[in-house]
Amino acid sequence: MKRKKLSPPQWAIRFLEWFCPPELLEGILGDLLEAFDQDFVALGPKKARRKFTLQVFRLFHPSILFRNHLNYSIMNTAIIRNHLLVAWRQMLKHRSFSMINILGLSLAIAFIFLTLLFIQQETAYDQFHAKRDRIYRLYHTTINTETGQRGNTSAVTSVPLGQVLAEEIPVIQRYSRLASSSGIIRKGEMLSRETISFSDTDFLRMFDFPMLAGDRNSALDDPNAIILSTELAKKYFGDTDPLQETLEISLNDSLIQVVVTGVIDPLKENSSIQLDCILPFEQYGAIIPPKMFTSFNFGVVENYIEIRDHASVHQLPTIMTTAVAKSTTTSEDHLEIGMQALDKIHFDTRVLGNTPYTNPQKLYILLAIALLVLVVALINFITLSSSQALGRLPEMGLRQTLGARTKQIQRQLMVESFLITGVASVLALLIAHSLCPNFGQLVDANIQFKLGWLQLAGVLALIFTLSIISGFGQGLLLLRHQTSQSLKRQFSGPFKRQWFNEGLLVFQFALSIILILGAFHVQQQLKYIQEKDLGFEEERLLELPLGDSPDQVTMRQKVERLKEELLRNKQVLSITSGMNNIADPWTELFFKQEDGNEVSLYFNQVDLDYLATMGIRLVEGKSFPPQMKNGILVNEALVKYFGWTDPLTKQIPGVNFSESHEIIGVVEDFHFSSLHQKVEPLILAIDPSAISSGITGLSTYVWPPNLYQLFIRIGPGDITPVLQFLEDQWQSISPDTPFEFEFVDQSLAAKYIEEKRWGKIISLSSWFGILIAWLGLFALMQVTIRRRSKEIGIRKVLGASSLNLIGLLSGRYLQLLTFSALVACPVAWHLLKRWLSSFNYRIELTPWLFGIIGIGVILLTLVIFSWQSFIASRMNPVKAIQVE
Amino acid sequence: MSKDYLGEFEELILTVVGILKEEAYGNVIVETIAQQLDRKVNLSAVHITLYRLEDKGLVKSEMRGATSQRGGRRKRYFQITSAGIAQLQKIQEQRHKLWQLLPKFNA
Repeated sequence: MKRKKLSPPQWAIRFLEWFCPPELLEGILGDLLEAFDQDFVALGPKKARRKFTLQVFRLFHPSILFRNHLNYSIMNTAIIRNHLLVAWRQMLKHRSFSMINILGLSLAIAFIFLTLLFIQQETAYDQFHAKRDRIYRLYHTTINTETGQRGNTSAVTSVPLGQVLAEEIPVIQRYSRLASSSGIIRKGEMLSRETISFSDTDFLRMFDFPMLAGDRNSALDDPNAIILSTELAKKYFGDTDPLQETLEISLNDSLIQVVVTGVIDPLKENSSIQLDCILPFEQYGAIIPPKMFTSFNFGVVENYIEIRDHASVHQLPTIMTTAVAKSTTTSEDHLEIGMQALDKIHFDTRVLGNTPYTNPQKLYILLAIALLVLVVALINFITLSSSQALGRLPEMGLRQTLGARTKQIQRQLMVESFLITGVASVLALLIAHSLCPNFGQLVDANIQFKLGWLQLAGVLALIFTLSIISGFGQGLLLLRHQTSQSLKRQFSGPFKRQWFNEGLLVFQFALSIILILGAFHVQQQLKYIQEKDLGFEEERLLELPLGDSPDQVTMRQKVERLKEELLRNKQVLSITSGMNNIADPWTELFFKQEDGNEVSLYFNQVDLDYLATMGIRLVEGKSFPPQMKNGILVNEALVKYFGWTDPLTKQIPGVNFSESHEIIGVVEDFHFSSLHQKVEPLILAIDPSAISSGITGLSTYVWPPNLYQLFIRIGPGDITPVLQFLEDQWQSISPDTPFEFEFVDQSLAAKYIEEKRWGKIISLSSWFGILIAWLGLFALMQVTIRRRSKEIGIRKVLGASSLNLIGLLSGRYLQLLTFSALVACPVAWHLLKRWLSSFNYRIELTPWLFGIIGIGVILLTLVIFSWQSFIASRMNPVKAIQVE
Repeated sequence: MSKDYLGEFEELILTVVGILKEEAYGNVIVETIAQQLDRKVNLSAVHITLYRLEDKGLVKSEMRGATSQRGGRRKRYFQITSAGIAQLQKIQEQRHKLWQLLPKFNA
């Protein structure tokens, strides 16, 4: 025992022997031992050992390690070639097997590749600007001066904002506005519609888009300048130098001549700001009216600022809000200003400008899924490969007898894995390339398939890791056998640990069943929503904003005129107007009660034709008679809310009511909000003064009450001519309000886009999941069949039929799958219940449906895999039992 | 060869190998430096540098002299080559040249 402490640590010596090239080992180790002896005398045993170990580690240095490499590979190229040959032959021999293995692996790799590509591209946005930590985009929140109601927050802000703030606030060093519009560029005979951007001169100094031609400090100084992107420069000028060339641009109604003063690389893949060409901001005057240039109220452009330092960055929003308040007149809305850091713009989902954005949650979820897929695929791959290799145990045994060291055999397995992984990766890249756009659509992002050095390195790293882990794993699983045992085909050891493989199988199937159940029900719910009766006719109904009007009378006149002209067309069935549109939440009014509480009721101001045009049914009473001022309609929900049995005699309770109103009818409940909420109590009135005295508070998107929307019901037939007719009439009656329309059913459907997308994702994942689960089952069955080949042989000899054998082999799997289904159903139930609870109107979950789906999956799986058992049962029993 | 510049440590080791004539090996070099310059260097660093110098052809090595002290292992002895000597000379000349150009500060 004492001798041990008197000499250097054995493990350190072994370590050195491992990494040190043999020809240097003697000299180095000799020197180290000599030094150790000296140190031992001088410093004592402990310190000597420590120094020794330290020196060994310091020798673990690339310049020594690499001297190994040369010898290593020279020694082994011959053997590796043999490994590759054997591996190739193996693959060809078991063609279907290898194909399944490769296919499974390549699907997993393709998915991981696309996910990583997606993550890499999304996080690279805007990272190329050097000053990005000092650049911010401004956003504003409108606050209604009368009601104090906070309106929308948007990063599309007013024209004077940046300019005024930069003047007032010294810490803002630079500002630039960015606007875009569509225009037609003409050069000679070439005519094309392009997206034109407008910016201030400081834009090029703030942002680091590479300027390939022209000077960034002066390119936008000339009022008639234009900077082209490399793409546009090529499009209009080919390979000739575009500088100082002229182009003609038509913006709205004006035609301008511009001179090319620069060419810019817009780095479209990585930039939130998308550019095709830039004009000086003054040119934007051709697009928007002058009053928008000076008013703070119109959000039309993006404002970017660059600050000097971060000293007062937290107070900036308040400072900016105050500065703006100084410059706005009282009739305009009050504005609250905020700022977004440039490198966070891409991931901000609350405040939106004109730039593309992504919900960061998506990235995390996808990454988690990718990791899961990788782990599962890897385990499947190892299981499949080792079960394959099991069949070659005699060969392994033979090799071992002939002198192969364990390490070498492990290396052989690694090479085989490498080959398979390599082929799978190539296939994966092909799959990824073709499915890239679909993947992008699925996650709602613009993903470019890119196979640069980074990506290739990543794939290679993946291949190497997979091969090494797989080879290692297989080696572990297989090589615990004694040589003799291998030759005799006896199995022992690790394969008794079935629980791991079986546990994994249960997990895979449970996951797949959950996904399938989820996908099924999500589709059901979406169908339900789309088909549910909304209480009004949402099809072939157009909604058009009527713009602003100074008062009710003027607006009513406008509506009357429109009705008169538009109804001339036979396809226009009926027209009405209302205060609220379909997509946005409706006006909510509060009425204070005797007991101090406030009752909240929804409200919409309408005209006489509302019920008819919208297709809303009356259950009691009648619709508005003309000339009635204080009549209101209420819906069933309101009646239920107050518990009335005789609504036509009642009044809305409230302490402040000074005038009385009359409830002349009750309408059937209709959904004026999304189906996520239940139908709330609603008041419809021609004249809001009927109930206005009782209002003590409100929450609304539009105010004051007026008829802001026009609804047009179109009859059957081709829509296009009607739309043209409507547009023409509109231009003549209401020229200063743009002709904008929306189909009500489309704007309603748009509310459920996110749900639809997740539905698609879940459906696809469920396919993916079941495929992988089947792969896992395949692998496991292979293993079992080989393991029990002797048993099967014996049973056959004793007279078992194929059916018996199939039953025998499948029995265990039936157990496992049933277990997975039992685990999966409650989990799926719970998750679905949670998701559905966010909808007020939802489908019901039925247990027997769950059971049917679960059983269906199990049966399908067993049927598919009985063929495998069938093949096993046809095995020649002689071969199986034979002992050599 | 004049294109290759030697690092300070490499130069040091090369010089010591030259000094020790035929008796230069790892531990002795460490001792010599400690004695002559009162500087502690690491055996591992010395070894690595020696191999690098050998790659550059400035030293050559051979295995000799097993003793029981090293568990029967032979030592790898290093010897400076003519190229090595030439390199050292060149360094000295260059250094001397620049040294002459330094302004001499009068006391």
